[in-house]
Amino acid sequence: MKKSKNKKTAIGEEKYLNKNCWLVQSLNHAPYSRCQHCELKFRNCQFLHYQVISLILATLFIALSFFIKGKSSELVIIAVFTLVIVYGYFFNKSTDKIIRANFTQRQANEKLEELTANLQQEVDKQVSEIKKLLKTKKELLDMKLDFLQIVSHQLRTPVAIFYGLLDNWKTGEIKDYSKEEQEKIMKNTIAGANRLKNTINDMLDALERGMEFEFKPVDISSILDEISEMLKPNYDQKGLYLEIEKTKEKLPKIQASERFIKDALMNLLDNAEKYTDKGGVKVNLEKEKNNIMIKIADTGMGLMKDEGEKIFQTQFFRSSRAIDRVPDGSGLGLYIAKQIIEKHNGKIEAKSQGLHKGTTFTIVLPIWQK
Amino acid sequence: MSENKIKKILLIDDDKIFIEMYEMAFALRKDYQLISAKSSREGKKMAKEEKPDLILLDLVFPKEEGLIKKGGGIVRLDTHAGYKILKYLKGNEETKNIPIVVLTNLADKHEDEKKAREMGAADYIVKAKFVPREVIEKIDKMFK
Repeated sequence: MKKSKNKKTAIGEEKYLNKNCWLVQSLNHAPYSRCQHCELKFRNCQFLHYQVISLILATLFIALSFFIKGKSSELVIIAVFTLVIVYGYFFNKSTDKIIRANFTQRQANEKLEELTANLQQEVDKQVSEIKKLLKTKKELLDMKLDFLQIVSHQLRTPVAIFYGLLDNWKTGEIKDYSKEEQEKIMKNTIAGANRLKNTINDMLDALERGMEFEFKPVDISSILDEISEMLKPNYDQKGLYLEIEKTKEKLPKIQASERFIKDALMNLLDNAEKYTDKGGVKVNLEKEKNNIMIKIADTGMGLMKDEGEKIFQTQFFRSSRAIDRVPDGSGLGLYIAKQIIEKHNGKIEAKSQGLHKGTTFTIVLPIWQK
Repeated sequence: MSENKIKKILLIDDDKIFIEMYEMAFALRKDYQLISAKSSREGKKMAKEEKPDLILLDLVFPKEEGLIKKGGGIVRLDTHAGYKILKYLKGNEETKNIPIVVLTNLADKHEDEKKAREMGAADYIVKAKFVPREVIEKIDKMFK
């Protein structure tokens, strides 16, 4: 049992390795080889077959030669012997090839199965990721709708209360009530208004905490151009001018969340139009150190001495003149604009020469630093 | 229906001030008697016991186990609680013939109103759009 030959045909293939092989069992010890591909120990049955059968045949022919007389008998024996050896060799080789082919095939199959399993796993993983994302998106959408539903409900409820109660004064039915009842109605009217105020406060708090600012380089003059386009019809209708001064050199971009900065500036320019009757609004931009300074100057109703700070400070501050001019403003616009600008690490302030002398809002926003 | 009989109206709403407002409004009408219930359980019970001629039903109630912030802030609300009450009342032998008017601040015509009418509501009124006086006028029309 030559070891060198074992290396060449070192493959474990059940069809050719019969553990119950009678030859192996009878010999009681079989040559063990290690498959160079799979490290399995196996018994080289076919070798035994070949080797042993060759031996048996040889013995038979030697025995046969005693019965065949003449010189030709030796030649016959040698010829047959050679044939047996040659046949054995080629038989071995061909089985070797078949075994190797089978093994290669099996190896390929195993590899393919492994790859398929991996691919399947990968696909399953991706599919479950996508399903999760879709579910999250749907959940977010549902949450958003629920939120809107509740928000609108919460805002309508106190309005229904104090609006409903005020109807008593409108129709004059208030006089049909006793003094105690009238007091109760008044108390509830105020409670309704308070509730609305608190609701809005709570919602603003929630929104402010939840505002996600994603800062990117933003071109402030293109934003102002967009806003100007949107508001121009309102200005034109009132016969007011809206000029956005172009600087000679291109201004650097600011560090901002485009959506929110646009909201803030839109609010300011909208306000400017609302509180101006004649003349118009001039906007100019300039670079100042690491910031861009935006000045929005209107020729409108102006501010009184102490109002410059107040208009930003509280959520519902509206001067009596403002309420006259724009009766249903919420008093929230400037407050929110200030929050936005400050979140951008900027500043905003309002100055006025006095009543009817116009107002100038100055906003400072930092330039985008790489 | 006899013109002289006092009509009983049951208002099911969780908002105390809202109930008081309607109590005030109905106080001026001697031909109506307003009774109120503040929760769904109380509402169902009163509907069965008192057998009102009309039920005014809100759709939004606080979640049973929810958090309530003082001062009228944001409450954990169940925006479908009212539908459950509506379904119950319309399914219950003792209450199924009582006309139910939904009186709420959910204002989606396509979803909320449609669903309520499909479930048997006789009318759908958005609180913030009509003052109590106008709601009573609508009720008058319904009884004619």
